[in-house]
Amino acid sequence: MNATDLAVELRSVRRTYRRGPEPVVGLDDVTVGFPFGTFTAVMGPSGSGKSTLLRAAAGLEAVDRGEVRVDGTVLGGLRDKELTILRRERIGFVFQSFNLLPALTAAQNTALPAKLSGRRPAPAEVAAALAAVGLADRAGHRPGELSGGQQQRVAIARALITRPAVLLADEPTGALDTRNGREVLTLLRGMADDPGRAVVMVTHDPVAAAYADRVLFLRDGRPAGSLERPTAEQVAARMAALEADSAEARSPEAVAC
Amino acid sequence: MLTLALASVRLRWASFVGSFVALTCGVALLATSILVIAATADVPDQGRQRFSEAPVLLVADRNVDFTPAGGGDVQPTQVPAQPGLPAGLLAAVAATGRTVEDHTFYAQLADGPRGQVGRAWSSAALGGYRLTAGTAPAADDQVVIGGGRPEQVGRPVRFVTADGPHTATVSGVTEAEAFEHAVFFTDARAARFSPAVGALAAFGPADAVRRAVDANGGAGVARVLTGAERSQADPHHAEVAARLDGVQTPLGLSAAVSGGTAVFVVGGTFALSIAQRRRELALLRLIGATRRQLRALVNREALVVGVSASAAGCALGAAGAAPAARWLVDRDLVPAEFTVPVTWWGLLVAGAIGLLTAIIGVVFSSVKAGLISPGEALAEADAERTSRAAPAFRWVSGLLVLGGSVAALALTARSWPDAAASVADSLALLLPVVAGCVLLAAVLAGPAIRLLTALPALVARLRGRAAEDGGGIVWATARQSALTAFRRTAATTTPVVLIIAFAGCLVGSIDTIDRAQVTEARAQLSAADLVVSPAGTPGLSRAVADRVRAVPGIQAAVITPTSLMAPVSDGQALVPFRAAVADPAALAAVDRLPVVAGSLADLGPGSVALSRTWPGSPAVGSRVSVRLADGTPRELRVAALLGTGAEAVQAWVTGPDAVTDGVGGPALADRIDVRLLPGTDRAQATAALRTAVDGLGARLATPEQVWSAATDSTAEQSWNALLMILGLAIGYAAITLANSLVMTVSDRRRELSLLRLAGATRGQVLRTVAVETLLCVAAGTLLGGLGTAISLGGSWAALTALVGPTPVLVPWTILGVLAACCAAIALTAAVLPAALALRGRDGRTVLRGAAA
Repeated sequence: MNATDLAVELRSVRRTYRRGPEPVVGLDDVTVGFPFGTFTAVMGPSGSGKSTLLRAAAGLEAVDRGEVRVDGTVLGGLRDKELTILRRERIGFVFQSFNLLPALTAAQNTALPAKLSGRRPAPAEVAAALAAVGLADRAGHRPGELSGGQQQRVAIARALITRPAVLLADEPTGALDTRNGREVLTLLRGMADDPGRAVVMVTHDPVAAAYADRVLFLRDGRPAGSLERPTAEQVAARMAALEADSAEARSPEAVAC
Repeated sequence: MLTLALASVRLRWASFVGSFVALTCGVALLATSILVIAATADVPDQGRQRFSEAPVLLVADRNVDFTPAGGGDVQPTQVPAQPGLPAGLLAAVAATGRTVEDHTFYAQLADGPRGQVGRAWSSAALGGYRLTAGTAPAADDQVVIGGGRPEQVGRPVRFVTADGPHTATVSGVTEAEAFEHAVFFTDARAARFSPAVGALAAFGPADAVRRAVDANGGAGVARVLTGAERSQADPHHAEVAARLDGVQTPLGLSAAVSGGTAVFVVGGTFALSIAQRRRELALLRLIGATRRQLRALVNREALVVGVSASAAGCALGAAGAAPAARWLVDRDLVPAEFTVPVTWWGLLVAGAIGLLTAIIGVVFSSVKAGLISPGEALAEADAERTSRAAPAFRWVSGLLVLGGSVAALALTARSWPDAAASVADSLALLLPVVAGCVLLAAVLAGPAIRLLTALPALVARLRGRAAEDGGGIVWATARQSALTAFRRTAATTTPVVLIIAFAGCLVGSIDTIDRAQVTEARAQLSAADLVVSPAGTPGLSRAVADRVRAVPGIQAAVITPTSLMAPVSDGQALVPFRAAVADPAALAAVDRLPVVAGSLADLGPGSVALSRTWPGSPAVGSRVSVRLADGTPRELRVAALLGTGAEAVQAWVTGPDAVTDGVGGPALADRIDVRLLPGTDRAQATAALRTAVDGLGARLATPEQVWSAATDSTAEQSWNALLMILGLAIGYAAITLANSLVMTVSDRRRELSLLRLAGATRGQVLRTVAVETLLCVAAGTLLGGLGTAISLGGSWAALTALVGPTPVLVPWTILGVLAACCAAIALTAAVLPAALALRGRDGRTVLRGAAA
């Protein structure tokens, strides 16, 4: 695979945390790539490094070793302002909850990244982004007046308007019921069909992961295989195996302590 | 970004309402103060005044040339006792045209007011007096009464002058004048009462008069006044100016205090609003806001609040100008014709300061907002994080300030105890104690709450349960909640600490200083049996002193005020000090001055007893260079050093070294301290003294009566100013307290919902909130009490070193009332929103509240 085909690329990335006497490994020599035009789900037991991977990809966390590239730009060595502009222009975010500024309406929230870069987006542009997520009639509502699913969709509309190279989603369906979750996942799926974009989603939910082109499994900060065109059942089975493994791996240590 | 700032302010108005109210009040007060101060800059035109009919006026203005130590320009320094215009000058000016000499002196009719003066009849025309009945005084035993009743003409009147009682016949009366209460004598008699000429009206050409003055001493002896300047020579004008000045100081001070406090209120509420919105701000950073944009956002929020509050404050301030003027006139603090014009520049200055205040207040918060990391938006829960840096900063800065101020207090108590006797100096010492306590409030709140809840916890432990469970579920939940919700506890405790410590230090130290002055007066009078003091008169005449001395079986010390001038600030300026003159033998026998070195027995002509704080700290036996009240240079030997406070007499001299005469006639005695000689019958002596002073404007009292009166003698105006400042500071702290609590209600909503879900009744939840709030207020009161104790302890140690054993006065009532006020404000601000938040919140809504 050619490097230019990758929206996000991690090469030999190592990240450890100092918590207590022993350093905790977040990512251990991880090399992965997320190609344009794909939707990748990242899964693993808690503490496997999913969140660290997402944060490293967003440049929210400096890595100890290795290199992170977003749309061809190496993140290491960028100053805060350059990182901020990179995030503003090339990375979109959707989280489990609290995606929006409560003081602003849906339309204002959608227009925010463009406004932060000093550009006033055309009202039609904002309306189109909201219409694309099915919220054309909710433009003037504040987040407090929207349901959880609608709030997630506004966040997706906000990500759409900047046309980012990468959309990072952290448990986007975690707080939603099935129907709303399905709508959000369909939207994410649709965004990944753009050849200029990659969608990376961290999730616990095998059903959500089944919407992805590929599932990347992590365990103890290392890649632990992947599944192409997964089904929910396959994912669930693999997860169960991973969790059993890591439980096994840890229990002797626990006894030894 | 302005849209976002506006939207934030609109949505989170509760966060900004405290800043808004504080700033609006501050700007309103500032605007009114500026307008009133601008209006007091000029004394309103009085129309007629003492010398309004004199075309050119010469006023005695004797200056001595003082050369500052180490070189520098010669400073002409006015002497406190003016000897009057020299005869040569009077003659020279008389050669230029008609002149009228003014002799003004103390002369009080039997029923006359305290400030009544005697004057020469020829100078009555200078003030435009017109007889309404009778004739001008033609003989030495005739007087004209200014503002007298026509039926008084022809009747005898009694009056007192500096030498004693006199009688005269009323030859005429005039209309009353607003600028003085005068009794007019023939020119010859007036010149005998007061030989010094204080002012001279000249009707000749002004240029000729000026030339005559320049040839006869010039600016060193007299000032030439023409036109509007002439009013400067009128004591009434000076008095009005002093009254207007007296209004300026407290207004300026309170405006400064309210401005300074508003900075802290704005700073505090913005800091809290940033802390509450960390996640929101992190989200902004994550989706592409740079640090600078985040800082700009917070600054713009402050600007929105600042602009609207300044506008509201200016409107209020302008509206307040007229009522303020009426209030001042009603209180007789300013003359009746006083008005306050509303000027645009006054409002502009106030508004600009308000805006500046908002910007200064927000600087810290906006810097802090810029440091928020975008990664925080991804954080799981926004449980209360206590950054390690903030408490460390508080510990270090708080302990430094508190430790430094305690060290300063201890050092002062040992080395310069007299500083503690001055209200201004001791406030400078004590305010850092308050500041230290406020800085430590946030970190000491936890330990204080643990201490307050120690008893139920101990009981629980004795019963074998966890300490956290002591005192029932409401109590236990409240305790844990207060200990965990670090931010809310700090926000509640800090203003309470400020209120209690500030009030305790301020009021307590003033009371203690006052009491020390009483103690000092008491120590001085401890050997005296009786005291003769003025009654309805400005002082005691010579006749009183003579008659008291003539009473057999007693010894009397007559104390007359004078001044001594000495260079201060390492010889940079010459200033007059309060001094007193008395017979040294009588003084040593009757009064107990606090001699710390030397002996009063050595006090005599050519020597002086000085306060040990006298400039240059002279030693006993050394010689000091001083100038007498009229500017005469004199070398005096130091006979004794006295440990007196700053408010007391600083130097005692004997008759030959005192100037008590000059313009205005001879000085009156302040007080006569009387000691009964052994073998004298007290009742007999008292009766004799009473007869002696009868009808002379004097009162016989016991030392107890004198020192209890000293308690009331605190300058009421400065006390009022202090109370106003105290009230302001407390008002602002109360605004902060209420605002912080209302702001933290949203943090609390989830907690309350969870408590409800866990099965607590509405009453239990509200009781928990109330107990938690009261615990915080109690902790604040405790810490404020600690600050009060430290500062009053320091004051007391210094004052005891100064005047001997003197009690500490803790203003318990004021502190109690303030603590109760804090509790009431805090309870209202915490329980009311909680009750509203809980209304109808059960089932689904509670679950939503728990999840949100």
